[in-house]
Amino acid sequence: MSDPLVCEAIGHSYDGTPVLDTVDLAVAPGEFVTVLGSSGCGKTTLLRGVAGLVTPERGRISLGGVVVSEGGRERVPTERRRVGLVFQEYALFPSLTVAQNVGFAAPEPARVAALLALVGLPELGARKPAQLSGGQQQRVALARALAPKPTLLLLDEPFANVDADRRERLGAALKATTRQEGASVLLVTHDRQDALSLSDRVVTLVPTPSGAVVAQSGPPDALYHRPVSAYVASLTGACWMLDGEASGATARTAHGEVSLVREARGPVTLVVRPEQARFVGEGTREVIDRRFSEGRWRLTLTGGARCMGDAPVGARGGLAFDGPLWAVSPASPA
Amino acid sequence: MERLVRLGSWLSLALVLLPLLGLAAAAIDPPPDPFGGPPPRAADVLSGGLLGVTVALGLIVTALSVGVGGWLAWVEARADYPGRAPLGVLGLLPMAMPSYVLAATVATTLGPGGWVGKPLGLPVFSGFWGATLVLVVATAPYVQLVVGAALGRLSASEEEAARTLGASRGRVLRVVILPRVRPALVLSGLIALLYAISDFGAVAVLDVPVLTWRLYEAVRTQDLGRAAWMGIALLLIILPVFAATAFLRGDRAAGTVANPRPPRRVAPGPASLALTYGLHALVIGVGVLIPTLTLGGWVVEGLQRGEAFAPLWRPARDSLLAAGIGAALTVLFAGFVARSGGRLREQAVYLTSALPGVLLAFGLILSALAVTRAVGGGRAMYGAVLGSGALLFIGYVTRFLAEVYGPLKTAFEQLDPRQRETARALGASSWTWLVRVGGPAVAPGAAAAFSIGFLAILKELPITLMLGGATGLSTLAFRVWDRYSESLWHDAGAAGLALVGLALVVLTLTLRWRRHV
Repeated sequence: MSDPLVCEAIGHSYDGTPVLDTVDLAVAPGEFVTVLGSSGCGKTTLLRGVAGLVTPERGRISLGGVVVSEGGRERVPTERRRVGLVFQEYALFPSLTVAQNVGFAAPEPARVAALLALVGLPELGARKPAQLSGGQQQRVALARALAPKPTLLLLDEPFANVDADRRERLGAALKATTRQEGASVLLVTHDRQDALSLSDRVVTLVPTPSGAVVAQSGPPDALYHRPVSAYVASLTGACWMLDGEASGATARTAHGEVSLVREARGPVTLVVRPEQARFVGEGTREVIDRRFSEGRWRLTLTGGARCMGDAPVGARGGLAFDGPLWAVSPASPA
Repeated sequence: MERLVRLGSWLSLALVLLPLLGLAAAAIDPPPDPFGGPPPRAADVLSGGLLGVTVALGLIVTALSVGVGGWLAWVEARADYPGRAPLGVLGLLPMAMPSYVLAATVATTLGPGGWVGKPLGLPVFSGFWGATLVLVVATAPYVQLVVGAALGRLSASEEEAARTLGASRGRVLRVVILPRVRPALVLSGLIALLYAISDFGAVAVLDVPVLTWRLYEAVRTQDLGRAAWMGIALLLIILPVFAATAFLRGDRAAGTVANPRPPRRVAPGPASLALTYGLHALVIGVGVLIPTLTLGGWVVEGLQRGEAFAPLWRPARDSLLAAGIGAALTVLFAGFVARSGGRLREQAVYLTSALPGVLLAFGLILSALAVTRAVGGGRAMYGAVLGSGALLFIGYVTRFLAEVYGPLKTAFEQLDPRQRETARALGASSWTWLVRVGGPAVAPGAAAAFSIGFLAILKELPITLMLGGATGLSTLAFRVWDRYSESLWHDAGAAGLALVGLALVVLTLTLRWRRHV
């Protein structure tokens, strides 16, 4: 069975402004892939290219083994690509009821009812979209996109207009629904929480002067713990960078000697996640700020170091690291 | 300050009700027949197809105008073709043309023996069909603006969602686009219908037997009983149309996206392209080229024949005076209503401005007669009231209050009460707030409102004819009408050119200011 989606060397620009340089991307059957990147880096363009709403100037897109666009030529128009697309603003048809929206492409009542039940809105079929909350509209948009049984579901920032509390429940519903329908998913977002918590695999896009390129692709934990660059490190979670001089399994830094995840030699940049560093009483750094979050105090010290620990602003001390640190470029693996 | 505003807004309500009260008084106590005969019966007055012709003209103009203006709005929003931007702007210029100028120039170019239509073998436009052509060209730009605004608010993502779900172009149009644009189509159709039923200039010049023109003739021959029946019939035709527009106006597009993604423009096919250029040619040709060239031609002919031209400075001054004072008063009263709110007062504003100028002027004459009769004043008192110009300006204010009200209300709505509270908390007096914050915020809206009122009064004819004569004001509009009726083409042409030139300047300013509102 061929992959639901294969993008090869996709490149695009708008009026001479490069957006995508050479992006390679594939989604395997049943896989949930998220493209993570900062706002305006070309994620949505990539998604619209897959849907056929934009024809990329360069590269080839195949859906289920069929080439749908190649070298700036559209081979299969949007309406025959059979992909499901959920927009950031949902784009429900306001003149149709919820059930009519869901049944737009697949008008069998049983299918509509099953999908509404699946997204948890079995009794709202007769309502108009304007009578629904944002989260409900989002779920209707999801049911509508799934109705014609697409092999690939495309999601554009689906939780951008939903409050943090609902996000988690909607995310769980999305995951369960797509798994049950057997759909492969390509989601684009700038929200690392959505990306890391939902995906089987995360693809990070990094902007360059000639357009965005893929910086790193892999399972969420790999990107979090072993990012290839400081950019990917900060894209996937809170962190700060610590310069050091590596000699094998350890490196000398301004905060003393630290152990490394993998051996290296010469100057290195180390990624420190706040939960990896602890505030200790002995040292000369001063606490300049503290914030309480998720059950723990997070401190900021002079010099920009961030760590966990309970100390008042103005206290002096140093850092201790729990476990080895990950070195990004210019690392040279030993 | 607040009390002054409230007082002013109730005064506005009194003004807009005045012509209606006059009509009501005439219905209860019909004015006597000028020749001492029995009072006329409604059936006699309204026989002879008067109602039928009025309604038919309104409906045919509406259908054609929605078709022409709707198509032009659609291609302006979605198609890409050479000359789209300049043709779109030129297509709005007929809004600066008074309908009597359009009608007079259509009659001499495309009418029987017309020097454009006859050599080209075009159908002859005179009477009913001439008025239809003129009114379609005059109203299509309004449809184009209203529908174009609705199309501009559409988000492309709904259409894109439909396409990813496999919908054909036809289905996208039917299910996604039409429901979104339908209220704008209907509203613009009702605006065109009101315009066509209320029009005086085109039907008067082309002598079409409709209610407004016959009502004016009846008033001119002092046959107030007949005129009253026609006025009541006009009111009964307009009320349901007005009720429909009021309903639609309250039902503003729900759930539109704040920042819609603009849809892709497509190159139209040859048939669409031909239709588009054809409609542009119709609107710009009949609405801009024919009138300016014809008026210019009349002047040139006059010069060649060595005709003596009546000086234009006085009508120009009177036009500027009437339009300036009238627009300022209209903005003032509209401002009272907009600032004080009040649903009843707002609806009254919309209602009177939906009524034909002929009917409003007649209603004011009737109320002046009723009042002078009630207080026992004679002909001298009535003459003094008419000659003071009070009725003329009340006529202008009531006729154009709604047009001015829209941009003013939008401007006032942008005044956030929290801004005023913030200014007070920062120690600013009411006066400081008004000069530094409130005034500048409302100024663009007020300027747009003033220019809209100014343009409307500049072009206005029936109220000027019926209520302005006794004041001694002789405006450009009056001059065009007067000289055209007397077949003094060179004078009509010169006054018409001056009027159109002035109107084009004001329209350009209005369209520019409107963008800032």
